[in-house]
Amino acid sequence: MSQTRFVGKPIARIDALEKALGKTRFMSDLVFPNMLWGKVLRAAYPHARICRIDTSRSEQLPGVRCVLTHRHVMGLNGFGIVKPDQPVLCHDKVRYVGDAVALVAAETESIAEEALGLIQVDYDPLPVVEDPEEALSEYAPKVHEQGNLLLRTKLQKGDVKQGFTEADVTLEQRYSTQLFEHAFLETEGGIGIYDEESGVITVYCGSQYAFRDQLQIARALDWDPKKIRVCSSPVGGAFGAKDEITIQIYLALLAYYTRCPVKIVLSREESFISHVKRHPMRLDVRLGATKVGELKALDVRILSDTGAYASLGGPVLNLALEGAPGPYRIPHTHLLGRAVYTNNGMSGACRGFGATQSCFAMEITLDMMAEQLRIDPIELRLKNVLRRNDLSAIDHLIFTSVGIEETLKIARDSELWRTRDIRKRDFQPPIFYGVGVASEMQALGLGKGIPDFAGVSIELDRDGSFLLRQGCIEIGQGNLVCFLQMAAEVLQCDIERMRLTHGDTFASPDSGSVTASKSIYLVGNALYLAAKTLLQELERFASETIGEPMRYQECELVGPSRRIPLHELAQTAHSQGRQLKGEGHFVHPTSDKDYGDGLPHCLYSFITQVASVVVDAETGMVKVHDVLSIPDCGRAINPQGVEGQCEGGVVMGMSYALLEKVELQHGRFLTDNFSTYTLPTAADAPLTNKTVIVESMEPTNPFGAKGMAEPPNVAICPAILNAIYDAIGVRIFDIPVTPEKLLAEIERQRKI
Amino acid sequence: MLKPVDYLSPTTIDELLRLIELHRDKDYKVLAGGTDLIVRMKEKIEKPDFLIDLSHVEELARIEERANMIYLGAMVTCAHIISSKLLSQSAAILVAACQRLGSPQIRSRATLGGNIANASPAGDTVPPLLALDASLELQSPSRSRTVALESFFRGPGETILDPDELIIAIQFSKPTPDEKGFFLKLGQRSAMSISKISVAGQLHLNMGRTAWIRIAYGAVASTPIRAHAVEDFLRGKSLTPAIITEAAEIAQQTVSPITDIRSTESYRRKMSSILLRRGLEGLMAAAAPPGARSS
Ligand SMILES: Cc1cc2nc3c(=O)[nH]c(=O)nc-3n(C[C@H](O)[C@H](O)[C@H](O)COP(=O)(O)OP(=O)(O)OC[C@H]3O[C@@H](n4cnc5c(N)ncnc54)[C@H](O)[C@@H]3O)c2cc1C
Repeated sequence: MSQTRFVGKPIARIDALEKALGKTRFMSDLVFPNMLWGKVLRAAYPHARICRIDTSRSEQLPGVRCVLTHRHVMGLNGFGIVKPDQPVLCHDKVRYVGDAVALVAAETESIAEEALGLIQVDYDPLPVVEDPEEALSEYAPKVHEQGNLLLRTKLQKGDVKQGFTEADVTLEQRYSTQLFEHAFLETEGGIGIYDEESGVITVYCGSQYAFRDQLQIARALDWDPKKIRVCSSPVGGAFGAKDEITIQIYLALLAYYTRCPVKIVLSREESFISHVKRHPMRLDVRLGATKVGELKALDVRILSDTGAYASLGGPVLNLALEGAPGPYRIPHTHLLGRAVYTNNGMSGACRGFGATQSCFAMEITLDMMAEQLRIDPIELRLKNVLRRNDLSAIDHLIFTSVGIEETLKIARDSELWRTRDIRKRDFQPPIFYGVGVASEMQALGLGKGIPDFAGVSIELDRDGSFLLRQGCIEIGQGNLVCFLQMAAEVLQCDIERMRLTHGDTFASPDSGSVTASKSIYLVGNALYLAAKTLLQELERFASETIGEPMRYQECELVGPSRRIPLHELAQTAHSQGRQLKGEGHFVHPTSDKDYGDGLPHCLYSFITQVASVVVDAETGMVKVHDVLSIPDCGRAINPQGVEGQCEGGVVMGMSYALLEKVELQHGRFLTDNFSTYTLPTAADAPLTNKTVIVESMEPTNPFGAKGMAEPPNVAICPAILNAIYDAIGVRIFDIPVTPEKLLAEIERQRKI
Repeated sequence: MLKPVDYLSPTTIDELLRLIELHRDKDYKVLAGGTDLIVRMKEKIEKPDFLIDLSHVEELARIEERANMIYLGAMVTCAHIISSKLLSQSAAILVAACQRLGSPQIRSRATLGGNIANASPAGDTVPPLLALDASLELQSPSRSRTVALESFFRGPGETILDPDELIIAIQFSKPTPDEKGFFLKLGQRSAMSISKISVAGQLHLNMGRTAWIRIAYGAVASTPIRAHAVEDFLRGKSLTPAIITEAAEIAQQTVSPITDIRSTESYRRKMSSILLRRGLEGLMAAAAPPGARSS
């Protein structure tokens, strides 16, 4: 697909105008007649036994329609993507302050709130497990009966001992990362409706995977999944936090018991304490290299605090391990990780999915190694850079496209990098300028052994337009226009000639989750197959009806003696009751190796990011000045979309590096809204935030596409920390680098 | 969720005072811009049964010059202050503080009276008003009095206001053209940020020496404070680098900050020095004759 009309063009998003005008209706904006308000009673303690739940006073409050507890959960009282260890409604124990204990539906929101206050729950508080290290001690209180270890994973290649003996320089460093909030704009909100006649429960609620929500709701209600409709698109932001179930099961239960539409919209505070966060991790990194900069051995140990329930804590740990070596060839590795239950809220998927944490640790270690070896940091990376058909640092064949080398070369030749020492002269103490670099390799898709597929169908409508039926959701990233661009390319028609469905389990085949930066790749593959099949179908039908061989060309069917426009063919098909349609189903390729629990992956996007900072060594304040992101996302279906992901990712990753941290004390949140949990503003964004796209054409996608949602918020964090070091010679190994922390370290090292 | 409240909206000060008199024993709150009050009501820290809105009392929203005094009604908003020509010429440090307060939306609502009455140690308009030696005109149905701003605060959220008493106006002597000042603030982010620390200074230089100087800090004690020890030290001295450094040292001793969610005790203490030094150095650099600056 070299000559394209739509693919690779910065075509405006189909949702742009209505979003800019504030017209988009998200699931939490919907209103239905006779609608009730639902509320959730959350745990009063981060860790406690429930002795008794008395709802009688609450039930008697006028206007209350139902009060539900664990007794009302008809099916499995549990949910969780990997293992359903999180109760829908807690029965005997609560494990974090976001645990749900009871539900209320009432005629107004204020009655529902009042009713919550009338539910009497007697607790027997238990000691709070706060420290993931202590959680592993045999004397630690158990968050779960079977112990506090969720998962231990070990990956190995070569002989790491041998590797370190071959190394001339070995560096060892401990790193730690903070609990981090996604801070999506739309809190969890939506409506549940039960239609008694059809037996269908409909749940309107923004999430990243309507089809899995459908199954999780069905399991909890013991309901036929075919009688559960989930509409979960568009989503007002999620960044991973709405991959797991949030309030969908509550909506379904309340709708079922009240026979009325029930709406829940979480307050910012309730949203904050209840949904999953990005895992805090402690990482011990040991890296060995030869004098000339050949990486020889890497040993990484990760302790991940997953909080109260499993959710995606296991896969996040695994991706942190897989991502730890970065896009480099390392012959000897030993990667060991443990994910541990505590009462520290709950962690799960968050943009970068574990790679965020391990990339931060590895890329700073590499920077230190470059300094030790007196090799330019980019040259050191280039020396070890991974290429297509190499064996990875975890010993699997990388048969897919690898563009990291090109990204590093562009970084090396960039003005920002080349002028880094010259520009230092523009600043006078106590103000210092520095530039840093970091690279990342982000696994796409769900990994070995995890079902990972997309189904798409495309129908010819009676007016000659196309209806693309796909199930992925719009989450703010702009994938819908990309789907249309790809389909338009194959169907040789304008984007305006197509409509598409999204995030509705009753409207389309299952196209997989919108996670792991994968929807463009998977849906692109499936829609390509669907479009090709549809074209064959059109040609066959046209040839049959016309009686001569007809070929599809630009919305016309062309035969030796005749030409018919598509809309005429559509009319004919419609009048004969024929539905002309093509279906495509694509299964993600997998690696030759199988390390279990989704490891390894086989498709990767890459990024190199260069950042300059201005550090005020007297106040410890860091201003990120310029950023250059160089992503390899395969073919950029919509370059403007890629730039958007990069610009936003940079600000999010910058804030991870410098500002944001969820503060907990004894399992309770000290930061639970945006006045205590401070987010960056436009005034804090880098002064320049540029993107140069590298397109390594991916052979397993007909358009050459991979994905680019996560990487821009990953490498930027160590790039900024490396820039701070370049500016003032001070390294910080635990993020965020607040002015308080940096100043204390400056003083400790008496560098300035 | 906000609990429903009754709402009264007087249009004159007399009517306002009558309403307060009438509801003296009831649970009411006066509402100015609401940017503190509504947040506190949402968090259920305040649960008034009704609100008396000051925003239609036109007399309270005036910026005036009266006999060499600057007179600001309690309902004057930050946006109003920023757009006032009179104030940008004569009280630049107050304007600077208002420019750094909240966001454009907040600045359109947030009032001077509200910022003072709220009595946050971090209230941004207070250090400049202290440095301008402002006083407050207070009024209740039974009495009116004028008090120095410095004696107004008792602690975080606590003031000398009687339950039925209001701030009517803020006033200070109109600074002379040769007075200079500075306002500096550090927050967690560049905009829409509650101060970790703020400092304001106003001084009069006479033949290169400080005839007088007033320095005030925000967020480094339980109330906004004047740094009298620093002022005493600097009075009559010329602001040489050595003197500035010494003053900055003294500043550290005068503040008594705490560690909270926004910053730490030790950082705030250090910054009380750094910001003061920068403020004074900035003034000296601006005052230096052309050509002398680069040296
Ligand atoms: C997003 C956001 C950002 C903010 N950023 C900043 C910031 O950067 N710096 C800063 O200093 N503050 C900030 N604030 C706090 C707030 O905006 C200011 O304190 C503002 O000046 C309060 O004024 P108001 O008119 O809104 O007061 P209100 O909320 O209406 O009132 C505050 C309190 O004062 C009482 N009150 C009001 N007027 C009078 C009066 N005339 N007499 C007696 N009592 C009175 C009220 O009863 C209430 O108790 C921020 C607030 C928000 C929501």
